[in-house]
Amino acid sequence: MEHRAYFIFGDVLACAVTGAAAGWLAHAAIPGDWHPLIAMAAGMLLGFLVGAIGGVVFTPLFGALEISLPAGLAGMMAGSVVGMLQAAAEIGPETALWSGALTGLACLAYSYILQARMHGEVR
Amino acid sequence: MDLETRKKWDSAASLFDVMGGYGPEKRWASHKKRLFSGMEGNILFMAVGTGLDIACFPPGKDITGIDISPKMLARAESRAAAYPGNMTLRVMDVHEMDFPEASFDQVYTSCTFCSVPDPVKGLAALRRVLKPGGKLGMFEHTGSRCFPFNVMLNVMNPVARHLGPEINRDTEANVRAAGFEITKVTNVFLDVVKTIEATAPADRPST
Repeated sequence: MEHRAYFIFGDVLACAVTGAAAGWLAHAAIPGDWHPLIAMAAGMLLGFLVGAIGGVVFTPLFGALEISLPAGLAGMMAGSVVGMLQAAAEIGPETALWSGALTGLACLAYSYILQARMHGEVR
Repeated sequence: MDLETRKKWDSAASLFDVMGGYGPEKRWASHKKRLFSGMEGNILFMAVGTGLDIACFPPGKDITGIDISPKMLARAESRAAAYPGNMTLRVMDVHEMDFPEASFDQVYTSCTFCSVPDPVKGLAALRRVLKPGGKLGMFEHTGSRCFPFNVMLNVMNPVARHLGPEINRDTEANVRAAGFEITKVTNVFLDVVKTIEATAPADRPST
């Protein structure tokens, strides 16, 4: 489990910004009249690309796989959530940003829970 | 000499410290220092790269660092010169090491076996130069058994492999396949970044 404030700040920043960016892109690219499942899949694909970019941007400052994996997941999940929301209710760009950022933070929380369970000597 | 691998890492040398020199190294330093604190005797450090790991070495050790990339090693020279111990650097492919059998008491690697094209063959080559009963200490990133990160690593691997490392290898299985006995595995981040400690059994490999 990461306890250093600098790296926790980096994790939060990377996942929130990547999630928000993926949400914004999904909102901008996916029309409101698409089927929700197709919109979700398209959002996930866009989010995957945003997540990969987020990993590259934040890795030099805050860590390698500790950043790129949660940020990659944040991008994918934020893209798919916003894509589905967009298809269901045609949300605005601000909602897309906030939804994406919150989804990204939820992904970080998931990775922290896994890390707490898996960290340390295993053999 | 594997010229394709050399070319790939020569190309990566100029950006290597930018991508990995601050955040990743600062994040991993305590784990690397713990692993390297066990350094004793005549030590081979495989794939020393630009020498970022040298800051984590305990002082006063006798270490030979090898790397396939001359451009990486050129950047490591000042760090090796500043090391408070005996450190020499050599350009060498792990598959073509010219050290005699059983030359080293210990072998260490750091984010290396994600990049060796034939990891089992490379590990067997390390076993050849390691004394019977000698220690292998590895700080590596591997694939994952943990959903959804296992899927992500598999999907991203074709791109990652093109740029540098493979990110979905089962390095523990490769270590065993090369004839080592794993003594300790410690997860650093999920089951992806980890330290692996192993010993070389007394019987010599056939390679």
